[in-house]
Amino acid sequence: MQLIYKKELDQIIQRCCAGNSRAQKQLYKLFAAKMYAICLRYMKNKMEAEDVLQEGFIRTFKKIDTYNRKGSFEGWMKTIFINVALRQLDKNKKLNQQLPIEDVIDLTVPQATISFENLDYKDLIQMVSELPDGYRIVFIMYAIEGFTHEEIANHLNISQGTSKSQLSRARSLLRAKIEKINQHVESYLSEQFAG
Amino acid sequence: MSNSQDDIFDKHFKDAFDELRTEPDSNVWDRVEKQLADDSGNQRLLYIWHLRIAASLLILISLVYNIVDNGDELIANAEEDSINKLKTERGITSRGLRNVLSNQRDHLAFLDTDFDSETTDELLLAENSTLSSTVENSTQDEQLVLASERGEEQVLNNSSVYRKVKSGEESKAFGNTKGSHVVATPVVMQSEMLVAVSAVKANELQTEYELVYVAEAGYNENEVKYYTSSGSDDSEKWFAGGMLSPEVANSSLVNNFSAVYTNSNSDNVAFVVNDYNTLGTTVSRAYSAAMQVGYKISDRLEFQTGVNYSDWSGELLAAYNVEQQVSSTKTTIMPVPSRTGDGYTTVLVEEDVISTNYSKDTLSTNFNLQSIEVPFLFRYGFGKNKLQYFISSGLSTNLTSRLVARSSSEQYNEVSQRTNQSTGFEPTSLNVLFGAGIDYEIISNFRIRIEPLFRQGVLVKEESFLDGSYNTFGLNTGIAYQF
Repeated sequence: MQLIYKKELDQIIQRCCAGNSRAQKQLYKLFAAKMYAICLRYMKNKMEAEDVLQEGFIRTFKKIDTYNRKGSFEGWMKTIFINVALRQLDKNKKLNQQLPIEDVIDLTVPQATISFENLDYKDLIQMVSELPDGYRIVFIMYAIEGFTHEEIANHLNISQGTSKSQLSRARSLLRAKIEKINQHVESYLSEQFAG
Repeated sequence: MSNSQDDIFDKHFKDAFDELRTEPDSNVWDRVEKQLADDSGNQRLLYIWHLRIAASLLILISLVYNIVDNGDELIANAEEDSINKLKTERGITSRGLRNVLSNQRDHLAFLDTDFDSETTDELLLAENSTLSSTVENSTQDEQLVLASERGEEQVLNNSSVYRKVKSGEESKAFGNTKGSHVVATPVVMQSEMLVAVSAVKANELQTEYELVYVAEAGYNENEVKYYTSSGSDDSEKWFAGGMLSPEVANSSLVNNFSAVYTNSNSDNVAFVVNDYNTLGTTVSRAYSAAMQVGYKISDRLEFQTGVNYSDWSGELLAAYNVEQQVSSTKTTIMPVPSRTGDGYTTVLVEEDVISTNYSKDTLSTNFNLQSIEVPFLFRYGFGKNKLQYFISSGLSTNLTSRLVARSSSEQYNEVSQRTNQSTGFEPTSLNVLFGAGIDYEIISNFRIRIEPLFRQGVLVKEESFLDGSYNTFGLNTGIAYQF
């Protein structure tokens, strides 16, 4: 990760405001990896994520003179990228997808049985990416980004109740997936020991 | 389920996403840069993009043209083969020989100036007498005659007459012409006369080949032999020229400018650099100029070398963690007992004090880097005579480089320095070159050449100014003269 001091970042931002292309490239180098990680959370493949990354930086450079210098610049950029990603998903009509209720109704797994021991971080990311988009976006915004249901409702133009139910269903699906993996691992291990 | 259990559950996923580290594809910045340039009308960026697009189109057109052109060449080759076959089968008559010679007589370079022939017969007789006198004084010519007596073939190339002995070895006998010429060499052998004609660039086909006609005495058309070979054209093999190329360069400069702090001019201030981090190098202006010489190895392949001068200007930005140590003298007035013992007096006590300020600074370095490079390029061409397309590839090495840099601190006004460094004369980097372009003969022997050229450089010497690797993309444009 590149080391950057507040004063230097301020200078880079100032030069970006003046349209300095070198400063724009420096800013890109500083934040591309972080913003790309955010884009990947929302978009399902690298190509879509890179399109959002491109559009996000274009918007950042065009609007950088509106940054008020008081809050976190990274937070300001993050908001832009999330908005671009959500707009892109909205274009693709992916935001309001919901599974029929019967698909999730039996998937509730008691909390006590959930174990993350057999999973590494890639498994967890994979599981989230496999969620239907409507659930996935709410889960990411709430659990990963830390938005409140009110904020999510505003961003996605849905009711808070819908946001809560989408989150609940997302968790249920995730628990079911984890449980399935755990059962698979346990049966494999018992076969090995029995052998 | 309680909120805290949900929070624990969610946290596992949050930690997983926080652990994800990945970099976007390197072309994303290119796309951002191009869109910004399109939106803002940034001339320099637009120029770079236009250069890239022009080069891509040129390469594409070259490839398409080559495919189409190959078809034409195949037809031309087939026609040529067919004509040659016909000629070989039918033999060549003395009338045909006369026609060839009389048609090409303007190019008979080695004939004596007092020769004035209208017909082939006169030509042969006149040349016969000229050669007879030459044979008496020339060992080479005697060898030629002796070889002819032994029944060996006399094969003539376009630029000179050669004697071909049985082993296939060739040696120069006599005669010399240039360009698209015919050489006629009658040789008297007792009662026989041998006539040899070499023709290059047969005009009706516009292709290069060599004809050798051998006629025996009396021009008996049934005994005339006819040979063809792919004799090489010794003329127009060398070329020399100059090229100028605006370039787009990507590189990073070695950040070795810590010395700027220690060399600052203030007597009572010292700096200690604890850490630094290069923010990036930007090359804002780059061009190269080249002097080239080349040699045609075959019809399509040529070798090229020369001297290439490159000039880059740009800026290096680096963040420094610096201690500023300010020396000062602290003066204290201290009371001491007076020598007389009656009371106290005062003395001045001076003490050196160093105060340290820890600061984060940005050092901006504007640089100008000049290099001299020797390229070794192979170029494969295709296309018509006037307009040719080619692809090129090769290596080059930097012989010497010179860096002039001016660094200045944004934090400390007194920190500023001009640096002038040179590598001396020794190879410092190895470059791999790839290019494609067009070559057009504007007037006789002068060719204009446009060549988009990509250069990927890898440093072989650590002390060099450049860091790791670098690459350039330039549009070489220049003119060459063919000898």
